[in-house]
Amino acid sequence: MPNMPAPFVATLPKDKVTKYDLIQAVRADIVGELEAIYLYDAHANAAADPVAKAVLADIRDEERVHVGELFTLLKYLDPKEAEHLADGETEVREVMESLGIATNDDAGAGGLTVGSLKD
Amino acid sequence: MRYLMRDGAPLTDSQWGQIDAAVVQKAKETLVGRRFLTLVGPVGASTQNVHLDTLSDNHPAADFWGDNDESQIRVKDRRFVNLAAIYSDFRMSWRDVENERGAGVQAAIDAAMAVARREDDVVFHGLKEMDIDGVFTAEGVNRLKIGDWNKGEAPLQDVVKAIEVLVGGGASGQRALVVSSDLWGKLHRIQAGTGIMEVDRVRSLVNGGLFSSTRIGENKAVLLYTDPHNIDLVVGQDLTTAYLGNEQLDHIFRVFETVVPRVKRPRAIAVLE
Repeated sequence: MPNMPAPFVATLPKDKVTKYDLIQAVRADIVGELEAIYLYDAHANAAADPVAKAVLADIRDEERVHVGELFTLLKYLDPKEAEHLADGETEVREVMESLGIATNDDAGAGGLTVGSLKD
Repeated sequence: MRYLMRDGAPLTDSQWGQIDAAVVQKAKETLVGRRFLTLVGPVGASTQNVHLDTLSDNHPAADFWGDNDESQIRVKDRRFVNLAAIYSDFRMSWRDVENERGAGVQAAIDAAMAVARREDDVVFHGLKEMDIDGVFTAEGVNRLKIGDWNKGEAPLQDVVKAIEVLVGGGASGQRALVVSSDLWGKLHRIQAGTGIMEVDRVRSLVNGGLFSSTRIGENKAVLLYTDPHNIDLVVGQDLTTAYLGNEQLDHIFRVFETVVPRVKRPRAIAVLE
């Protein structure tokens, strides 16, 4: 488990936080959502009861949406971080291209694509 | 990919997954052109046109002394061709959407098949309205009279003749043969005195593959050298599904793609008709 220095866990700050602290808080929130996904996924997979399995999986997927929301918020608050994240995506795409693997950019929205049918 | 407007559709991820898988599967089963053409892209949905170059010489020349400008091979003509946006719409009833067990996917499959067939139409016949040339319609392709494929070795002789013409014109590399459905049937007979199916004898001549298509008409075939310096297929947006909106509780979707074939060396193509 990560050990994040979480700002204002026990007491709320008296004044509005600085932008820096807010960005740090969002990072901590992302970690919290990832932890939740990790746990819900384990519990859903372990559950024998079909209803429990479905509910836990549904909650897990809601947490995934939250991660997306928080990353989007983080990129809004810290454009420099957004640039670094974009650089990371580009580097992975370059690795995939060097391996001859289609990237999601090449694919349809569902990640599926027709592509070349040549043998 | 906001232009697909999928966020506005009342489908679950699972339902989108079913549609995407069915659409791609049917397109792969239907498409013929992509089995022998080199695919360029996807170059992006926003790409509206691409260049199409014609070189100065269909018979590349080489020289010895280093002072002959006339032997330079260069782009003689560069024009820009539009990518055709091919689409087919389908409708899912609200009850099928609520069903969540794959109901309504059949309509998506039919739409995918329609788009795939239309892509092959453009590959083979071009699109006159958009000034797009196809394999059969490009100016300068070799046109040979086809024999009676019911008789003797006519299929083999026709293909050999076509190869001779193309090689004589400077073509080299992989060659593919596409035949109409009726000719495909005529190839499936034992060649007298050989004990070998005519289709197998013809196939042995085409290292780029032998294909059958329902989109090229009857009693027609085309032999072509398929290297990308002769011909390729540019894809902007590969085949996918977008949400158009709702109407009387039902939901309308669009299967679409943007493509254009580029016939760069018509002399590398021989139409048998």
